Amino acid sequence: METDQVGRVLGTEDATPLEFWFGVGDDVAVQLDDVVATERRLPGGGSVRIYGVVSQVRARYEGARYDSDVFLIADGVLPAEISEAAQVMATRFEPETFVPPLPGTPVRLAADSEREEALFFDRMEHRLPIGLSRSGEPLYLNLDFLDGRRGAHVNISGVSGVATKTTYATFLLHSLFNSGVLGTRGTNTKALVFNVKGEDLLFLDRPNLHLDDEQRARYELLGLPPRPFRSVRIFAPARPGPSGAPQTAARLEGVSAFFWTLAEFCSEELLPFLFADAEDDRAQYTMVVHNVATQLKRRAVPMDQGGGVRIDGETISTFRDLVGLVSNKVQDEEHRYDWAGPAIGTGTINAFLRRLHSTVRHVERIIRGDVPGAERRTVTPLQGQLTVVDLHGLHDRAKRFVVGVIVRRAFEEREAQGSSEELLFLVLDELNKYAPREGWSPIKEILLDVAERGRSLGVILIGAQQTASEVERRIVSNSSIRVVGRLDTAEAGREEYGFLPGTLRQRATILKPGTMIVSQPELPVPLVVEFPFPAWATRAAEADRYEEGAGDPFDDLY
Amino acid sequence: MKFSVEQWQPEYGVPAGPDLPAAVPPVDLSVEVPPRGWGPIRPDAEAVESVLFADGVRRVDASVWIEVDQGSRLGLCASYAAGAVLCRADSAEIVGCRVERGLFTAVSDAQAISTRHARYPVRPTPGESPEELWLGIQNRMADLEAEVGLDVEADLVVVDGPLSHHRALPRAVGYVKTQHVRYLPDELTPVLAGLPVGRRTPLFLVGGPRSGFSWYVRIGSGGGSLGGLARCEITADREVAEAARLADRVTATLPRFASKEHKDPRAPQNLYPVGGLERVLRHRLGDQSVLYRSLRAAAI
Repeated sequence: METDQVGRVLGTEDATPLEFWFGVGDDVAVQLDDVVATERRLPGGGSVRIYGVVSQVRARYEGARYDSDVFLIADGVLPAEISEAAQVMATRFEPETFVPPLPGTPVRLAADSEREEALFFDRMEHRLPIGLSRSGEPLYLNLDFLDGRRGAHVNISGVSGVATKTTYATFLLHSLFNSGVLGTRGTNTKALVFNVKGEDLLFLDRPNLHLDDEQRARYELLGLPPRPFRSVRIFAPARPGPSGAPQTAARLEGVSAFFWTLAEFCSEELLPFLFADAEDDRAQYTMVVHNVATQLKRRAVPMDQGGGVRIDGETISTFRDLVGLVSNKVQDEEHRYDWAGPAIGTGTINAFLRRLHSTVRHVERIIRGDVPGAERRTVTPLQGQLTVVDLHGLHDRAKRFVVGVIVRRAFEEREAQGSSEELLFLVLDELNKYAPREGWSPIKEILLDVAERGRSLGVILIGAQQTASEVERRIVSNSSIRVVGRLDTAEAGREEYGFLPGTLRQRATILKPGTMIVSQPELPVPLVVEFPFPAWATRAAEADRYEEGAGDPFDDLY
Repeated sequence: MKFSVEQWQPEYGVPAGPDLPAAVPPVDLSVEVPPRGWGPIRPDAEAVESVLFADGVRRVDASVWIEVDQGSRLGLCASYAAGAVLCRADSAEIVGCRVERGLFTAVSDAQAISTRHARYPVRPTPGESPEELWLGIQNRMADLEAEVGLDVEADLVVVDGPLSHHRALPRAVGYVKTQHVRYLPDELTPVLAGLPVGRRTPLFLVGGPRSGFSWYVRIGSGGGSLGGLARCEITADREVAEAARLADRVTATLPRFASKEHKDPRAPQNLYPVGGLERVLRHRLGDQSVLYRSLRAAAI
């Protein structure tokens, strides 16, 4: 056999243009995801190069007929030969003549330019490193399908804890910012990351203590620097009380607080974002919500200091007071017609109020008018390259409010600018909470807007969830890039994962942390990628205290 | 050479095989133990470490009619193969495997038949009856059997079937599964019937053209009182004591290889290594329908 030949196409299994098996030669090991090439001569001259990816490898005894024969063979009683065969899913035909490879044809490992051709890397003008193959070679994504030119958005699915969804999302951001693939657009490209669980994303600017040389070498293979994110701004919800300081446990320095003033709450009509649960969708009081929001916008006069408002002569400086005022207005016979709307029954008003009162506890620290000099709290992704908004300590209703308001604001700014040259990446985990498959909510609407129109505005959603089957279909289907980490066995069988061939579906149930399956429109076969250990800390214990290049502060003492 | 292929598939017009009942040769029952003292013998030896099993398979791919001046005469296009398995403590390995084909015929100026897939060189036979043609195949296969695995080091060589072509090999043992000939008188039948598994009868000397020491061994249980019995034979050109030692070693070694009923219709006598080897050899003969088709194509 030639040195790079690994076997020959089988004739005992059907060879088709889409899928074929080859017998693995002696002294050769073929593993899943290996990229192979074979050739087929055509009548009348010329030949077709057929490329593919190994999707399954099997070994068996030839000569054994019963399961128990294996013991006889091991005991030296029954002669048998081990035969290994590998299944290949075809990726590319060059030129495009869809013929099967002929049985007996040699199959070789595709290396260098052949590998590039097999995986369409040669056709990618802008290629983004997305991880390494099992054999340690870089794998790429066509940026055109991410930045809106031909497609946009990433959707990541996987079981919490082992699927490393958020880490992969941040790795993609790292690759986007550092691979140079964005060219001149890189300087103005921003990312807005919502930290929904734990404090994982609060240390993106800190080097990871556990990053060893082996992992650094993996970054080098990808052409990426093994360093944390550089321009990071972190926002955490304000603490209750007049200080307005950010509330975080693990990270104390370099964090700004965010909250909305009552003036903003009224003028920007943010009230509907408090009614974004599935049950709100079914309730009768949607009309009341919008009428109240309109009244607040019309009647609220901002105070000079602290962000409070005056409504009908009454000074309001806390959310609780505001709720009290709304409560009076909608229940008062005189004002009810204006505030709640015509022909609204008492039952509906009471339902609205019950719902409104129950939010007070959860949001009063992020909607307030009692903090003097509150200019730092505005969350805008335009300040740093990467903005992290910490939501993990908030109640679900408050989380929905924050995500809805921030995404809407970011999206509206983009709409006003109208340019898609600079990209804005939105990273949001637990998408199923914000855009569930069933029902309607203002947040789902804004996320759908991003999914459907964001592409042309340069707003790219990197969404993640445990189960794609629970997320609004149009959000998932608008994502050009689908990523899957470890999946629950039942989930892997659902139609949302139809883009995974059978063997990969099965494989998705055993993926290790750090391994993902990435599907992109150009490649007919999803790629299994391994991404390096994060170079940035993902929790307090991993965070190196000193910024890169700062040196040892004790140096001067010696 | 003009020839035509018999329309009937070869299995139809073929005799059962050349193993015709032979006349009972003279037997001397008293070489090791006098007949009165016959009983099961427990082998006084350990099983050997390495055993080489040799076997062959044959198949008629097509019957052909070769055109001669006076009409047409029969020939058999046959494929046959011989191979050997070397069994050690932890491995069973096919160490030799040869496949040949031939046109067996008594037509003196017959020529080889070349088809798209195989070539059948002429293998002359003395007679032209179907039985004689079959015997020609059998003999050629046995010759091939004697050639494979000759250079392999093994403590024991077990030949499937009578010793015939392996007589030159000192460690060779013929292993006969079927009992077409009754060598023992009726009064010794109870000894055979009561033979426990892993025991042998005393040696007896068979005379005639295929002379040699022989004994029965019970290889496994099942199949009635005479089930699980096999007859072994070795050449007679040695002392009785030496022959008995060899018989002991063989008797101690073989039961390990006995097959089970659910895996082999000829269990337990058809030994696992031989069964496995036969399957491999049959496979190596190639697909019969493909060869038959190519012979028909070559005859046009």
